[in-house]
Amino acid sequence: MHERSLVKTLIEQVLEEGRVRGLGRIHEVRLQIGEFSGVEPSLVESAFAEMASESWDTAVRLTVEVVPLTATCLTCSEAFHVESFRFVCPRCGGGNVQVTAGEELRLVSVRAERQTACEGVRP
Amino acid sequence: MSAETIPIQKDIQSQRRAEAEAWRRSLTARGILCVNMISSPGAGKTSLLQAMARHWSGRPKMAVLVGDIATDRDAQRLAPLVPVRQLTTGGACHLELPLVRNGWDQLDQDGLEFLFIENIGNLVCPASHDLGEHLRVVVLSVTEGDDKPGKYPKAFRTSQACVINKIDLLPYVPFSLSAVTEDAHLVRSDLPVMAVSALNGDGIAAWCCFLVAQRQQLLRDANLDR
Repeated sequence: MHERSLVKTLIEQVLEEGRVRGLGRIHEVRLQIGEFSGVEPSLVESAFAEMASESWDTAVRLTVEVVPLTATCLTCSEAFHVESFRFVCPRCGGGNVQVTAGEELRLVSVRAERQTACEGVRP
Repeated sequence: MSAETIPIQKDIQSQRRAEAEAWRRSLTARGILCVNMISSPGAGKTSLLQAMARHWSGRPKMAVLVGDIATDRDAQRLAPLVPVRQLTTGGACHLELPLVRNGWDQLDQDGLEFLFIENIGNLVCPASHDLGEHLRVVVLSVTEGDDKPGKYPKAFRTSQACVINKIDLLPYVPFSLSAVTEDAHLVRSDLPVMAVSALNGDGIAAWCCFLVAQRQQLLRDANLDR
């Protein structure tokens, strides 16, 4: 249910990065969504498709990369993918595990045109 | 003009995280343990808070910020017992920090030792929102079934304690305390699971003791125990 407010934050941050870095037209936004972030990628995509048109005149594509939920066992150091949200080490059966990835919501990059002070003059 | 890829690598929740962390630190500095209570609707969060308020009867001093989509019914139930403010979200399925801070500003904060935030009844979205709490507590009642930890892993993984409520109903429902504990421990192996009945008071003293110990630990960690 909170995907829309998340997309609002995402768009605000892309606009802010665009201002700070002097970017022109944005073509694409790349976002990482962790498997355990509590956010549903398809809902983010549909919210973005709807809300991007309110912020940009030209089409902006959202590319989502889902980051698998991984952990390290603090008992035997095994690194593993957490299957079915069971936070148990597949090697030693211990539950003292630390999540290493899969909780992120990260704006990875944007593909955009750079605005230059002297348009047309290229190095 | 050609487009190029500009790397950013930014956690889009970093500002929210920083705000929650700053508020947590300010509560710590005042010696207040903040507890965010999450559960499905009707698990008995308000009844549990009423039972705790009666058990403590003014000492230690607690206050409650209670969230709901509509009505101030929960605040009305708690008002005779403790300082309380109703937070009304107008439809949102979880509380966010600005609304909590707004309610906090209107609370009687004098000498406060515990602040309880009763979240919106929902085991999904509240698990993704840091309200600056020291302790997240997931409340589950026996009528909901003992298979819930695995079905709502984020709520249980991100909580530091689990309260099983309505144990007075155990003779009438198919619910196993050992099965729910086992399932919860697959999600978080060190999760303390406490069984209570807010209705008849069973387990309330032990639960309150647990909270007092948590606050003492917070004060020790912050060098405030003098």
